Amino acid sequence: MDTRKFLHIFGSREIFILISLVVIFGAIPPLAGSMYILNIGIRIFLWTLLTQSWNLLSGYTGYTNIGVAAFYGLGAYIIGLSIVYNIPIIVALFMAAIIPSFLGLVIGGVSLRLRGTYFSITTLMILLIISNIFYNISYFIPRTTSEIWIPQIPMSIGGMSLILSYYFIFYVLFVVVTITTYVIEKSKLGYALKAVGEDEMVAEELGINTTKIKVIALMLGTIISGIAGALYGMYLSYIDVPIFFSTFLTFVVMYVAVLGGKGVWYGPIIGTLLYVPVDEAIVLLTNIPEYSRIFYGLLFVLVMLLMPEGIGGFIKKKIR
Amino acid sequence: MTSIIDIAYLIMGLVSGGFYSLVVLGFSLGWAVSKMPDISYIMFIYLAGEITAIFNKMFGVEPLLLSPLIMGLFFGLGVFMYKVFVSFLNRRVSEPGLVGLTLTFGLGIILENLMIVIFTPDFKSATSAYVLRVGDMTLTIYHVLALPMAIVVSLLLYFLIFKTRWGILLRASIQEPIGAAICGIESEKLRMIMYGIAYSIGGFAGTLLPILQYVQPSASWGIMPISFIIAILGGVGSIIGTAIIGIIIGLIASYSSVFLPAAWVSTELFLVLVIILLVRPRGLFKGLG
Repeated sequence: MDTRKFLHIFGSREIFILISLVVIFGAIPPLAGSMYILNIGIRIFLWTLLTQSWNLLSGYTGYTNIGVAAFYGLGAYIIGLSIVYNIPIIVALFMAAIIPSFLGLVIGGVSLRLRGTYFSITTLMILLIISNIFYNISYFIPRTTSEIWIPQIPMSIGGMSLILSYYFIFYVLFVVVTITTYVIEKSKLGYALKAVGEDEMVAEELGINTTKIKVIALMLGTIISGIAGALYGMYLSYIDVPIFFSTFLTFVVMYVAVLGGKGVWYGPIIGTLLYVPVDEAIVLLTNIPEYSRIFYGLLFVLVMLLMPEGIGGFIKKKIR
Repeated sequence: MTSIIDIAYLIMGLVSGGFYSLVVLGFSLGWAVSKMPDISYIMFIYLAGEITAIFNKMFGVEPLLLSPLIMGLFFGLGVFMYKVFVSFLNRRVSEPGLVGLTLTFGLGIILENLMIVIFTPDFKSATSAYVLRVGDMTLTIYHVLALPMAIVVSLLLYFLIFKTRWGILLRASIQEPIGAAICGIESEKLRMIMYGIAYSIGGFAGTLLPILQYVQPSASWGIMPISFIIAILGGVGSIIGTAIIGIIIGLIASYSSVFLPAAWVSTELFLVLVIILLVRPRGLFKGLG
């Protein structure tokens, strides 16, 4: 990459937002120090990662992926089964990145030629198939159940507490993914993805191999959600089908992405920063799960009615 | 012995196939009209089921007597949904499919949990006074009539959409909205009425639900994937396709429960759908629009 191109990437005013976000997330919660805030921080990172992974394909191109939870849960189960079968953590994390992306390659290679809603429904079906397979996992692998309790892995870095180490692991992943999405958005791949989102026929005529770049975007996204699922599974130390292969989670990811604005690198961050505090408030205020779900439903409906293009779309118009 | 079992599976397959056809006819037509799959439609079917089950249990009302009332209410509900959500989103959003899916998912969650709070999460069913005995099985009149009713409803819809002037105008407004508007067709009004009709079919299916299956608010998530499968395979908005595929899926689900554990039946159906979508991305039948 030559210097002028590099300066072009890091020349805009968006970079200040990027740096300040990195500093704020790196400094404030660890200084505040309470377990509660660190836990919320980890959840903010998790939701940002999942939404970024959705945004890479669906936000830019408009091919809506309703199967994020499939790759997320696959990552979690890979780590869970690896720990049960004594496979080293590093190898397991590597597999949690590779296997979902391979699945993404297979699914994307065959189904990204389908247009719009049909692709979405295919991904939803894939999620339901995979969740069904893992729900009945004892059918394939004897002596395992779909609920996996794994021991807390001592991941202390330099004498930090366990939760603080997890905070920093998620933080590093968050920074890496945010910078990567930023670079992708300003690169040739990002422009090609946006071109597909604007008008796929024209993009193809301009010489873009649309199926190839869509599959690449899907695979990058699945790597992110696979690793996020693996790390969150280790953090929770409990892996179960309703938590990880959750249709609700998939829809929340879409909702957060639309809320923050899809097709922009900061959209997922804005969406998550708005969603997670509200989520916490709902959990604190309502102790009956039915009422809290009614609140979630109302949130979904209100945001979609009042700002169908999201807050990020609004900010995008103001910045330009 | 085996032949009796086979006939039982055949009957159950045809009954549930007829029921699925009825459910998905409204779903698929609504999808074709609004350009977005409406998840809350399935929840409203369960609402109709809950109401029917309560009336049946408390006053012993036959579900079929209740269905005209519920169909009327659901027609109004469909018109309301179209006015408030569908036409609003179609005007304001560039790609209503994604936003509509998320919005109706939110509505679905609200409805499901309101139903749990109001009607309790118990499993409920209804009974009928008209019972037939076929061999070892006890069938109500509804089991016998499910498939014929699905066929009658789909034939009526086919006649309405393909043989009447109103249907021609409606198809024009779905396939070529701008051209239809230039010709002076009030497409919003036509679609609104069609959406109401789609919902009233859902209300009708809902009154049969507590007697053919059972009602439980969260069970609606189980019927949703099956509805998607039937709607897509049959072609979105295709009446004959939906009816045929609905019956076939009912038979497949019934017969494969002989060989497979119940949990695997839905997985098998999803695999069939994915494979067929790869071969024929637009479904097996030509849809509307």
